[in-house]
Amino acid sequence: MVEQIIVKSVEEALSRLSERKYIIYAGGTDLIVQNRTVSEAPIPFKNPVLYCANLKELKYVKEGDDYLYIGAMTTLSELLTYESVPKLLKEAIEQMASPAIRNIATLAGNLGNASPAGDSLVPLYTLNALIKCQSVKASRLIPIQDFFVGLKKTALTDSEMITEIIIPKNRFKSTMYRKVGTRKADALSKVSFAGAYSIVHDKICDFRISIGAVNVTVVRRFDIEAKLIGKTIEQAQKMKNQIISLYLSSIKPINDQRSNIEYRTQVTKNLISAFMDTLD
Amino acid sequence: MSKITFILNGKTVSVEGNPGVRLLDVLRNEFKLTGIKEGCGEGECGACAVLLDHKIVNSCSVVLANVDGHEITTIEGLKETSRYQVIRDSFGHAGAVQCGFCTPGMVIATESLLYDNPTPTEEDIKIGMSGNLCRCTGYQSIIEAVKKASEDGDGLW
Ligand SMILES: Cc1cc2nc3c(=O)[nH]c(=O)nc-3n(C[C@H](O)[C@H](O)[C@H](O)COP(=O)(O)OP(=O)(O)OC[C@H]3O[C@@H](n4cnc5c(N)ncnc54)[C@H](O)[C@@H]3O)c2cc1C
Ligand code: FES
Ligand code: FES
Repeated sequence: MVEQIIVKSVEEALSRLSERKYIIYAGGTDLIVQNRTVSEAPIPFKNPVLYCANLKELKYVKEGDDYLYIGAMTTLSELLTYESVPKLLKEAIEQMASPAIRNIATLAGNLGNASPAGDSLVPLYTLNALIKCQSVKASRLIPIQDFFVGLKKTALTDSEMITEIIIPKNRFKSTMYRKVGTRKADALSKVSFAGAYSIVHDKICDFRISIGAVNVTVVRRFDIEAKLIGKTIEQAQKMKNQIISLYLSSIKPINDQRSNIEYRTQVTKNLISAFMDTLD
Repeated sequence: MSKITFILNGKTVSVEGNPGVRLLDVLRNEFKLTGIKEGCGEGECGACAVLLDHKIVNSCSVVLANVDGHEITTIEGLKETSRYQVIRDSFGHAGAVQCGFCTPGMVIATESLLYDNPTPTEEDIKIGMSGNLCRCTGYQSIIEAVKKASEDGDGLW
């Protein structure tokens, strides 16, 4: 049996992480499915485990003047109870799994799992979230698009854990979240989408699109977004086909048990088009 | 080895051993609480549902370690309450039970939902029950049962 520790404080967790590699265990909704073998047997973890779900220090949502701070062990259900949590993120969480899973699963776990189909990722990309990665020595604030470095790969080192997710307070004119899946509950996404925009003096001043499950990491293209800044809605509508084809050139959907390339490509087109139709 | 202490159906209990066992196995094998069932074993069917601090969780997807210091209620514990009587009667009345395999989980889901929201809309009920699968009834009777429980149990939740 590998070493398994129920940590009592963040300080203890970080000090243990500085000594060796551990599996950081939050709600465990991903870890248990990934590591279980037969019924009734203890989970055969391959590395030592730090159980962190009960770290009260990391269960919070705090609002500052410019940012919202989410403690890493806050559950998805808890997040839904806060007025300050952005609508875009809430809409994604409401469509994740089922109440029973949301009552134990965490946002940090969805990030740590690093599946390109993780449903909290697209809203967090669109919201410009920052991931706080802490070790005994230092703490790094990593913009979400730099946190994911490849398929199921994050920028976290073995001595670090996510302690907080930080979301800048944005005031968008409108946002749109869509998850395209099969069954409503407990279904993994075939494609997910989070868009947001703002308009000042009849011109687009902020335009963001994140698309999930169509490449190894979420697609967010700042260069394409920049083309629409300063444009009127009419000008933007005329550019719609051009914008869609630019996005299609940066997606690499796959065939898998959930869907296929043609379907994912068509859905991506439709979602961008539907979002651009909401410009108003 | 760890010692994990929690409240089980109103009584403080301690378990010494591997913290990486599933709550489902601890409840069924050590405490002989066999009302919960193992269906999928992967968090998708709700047959193993229990209440953790009054909220529904799947005991196949919770390790013992994470229960430390919390309160767990199984269908056996819930049975002692007047709310259970209302849920039982409404499930019976609506014909929401056939083979019964999903029923303990459905009852737990109903309690969790009504505890949080005593007057759910039909949409709230569908969301509240969305993690629980039933292979027999076709769900409509279960939705009716939850609706009836919320009406008949007026004031209990
Ligand atoms: C039935 C079912 C349905 C599901 N449906 C969905 C769905 O619709 N959409 C979706 O996106 N996901 C879904 N999931 C997956 C899962 O529930 C989510 O990814 C959840 O957010 C994981 O959180 P957790 O706390 O349980 O993570 P854990 O399982 O505890 O951890 C997941 C990974 O993240 C790492 N990790 C956790 N916390 C930290 C931390 N603080 N610092 C560093 N690393 C950390 C872990 O080491 C592990 O690698 C589903 C799972 C199940 C079982
Ligand atoms: S057995 Fe736990 S959810 Fe199916
Ligand atoms: S009554 Fe048989 S599974 Fe629901």
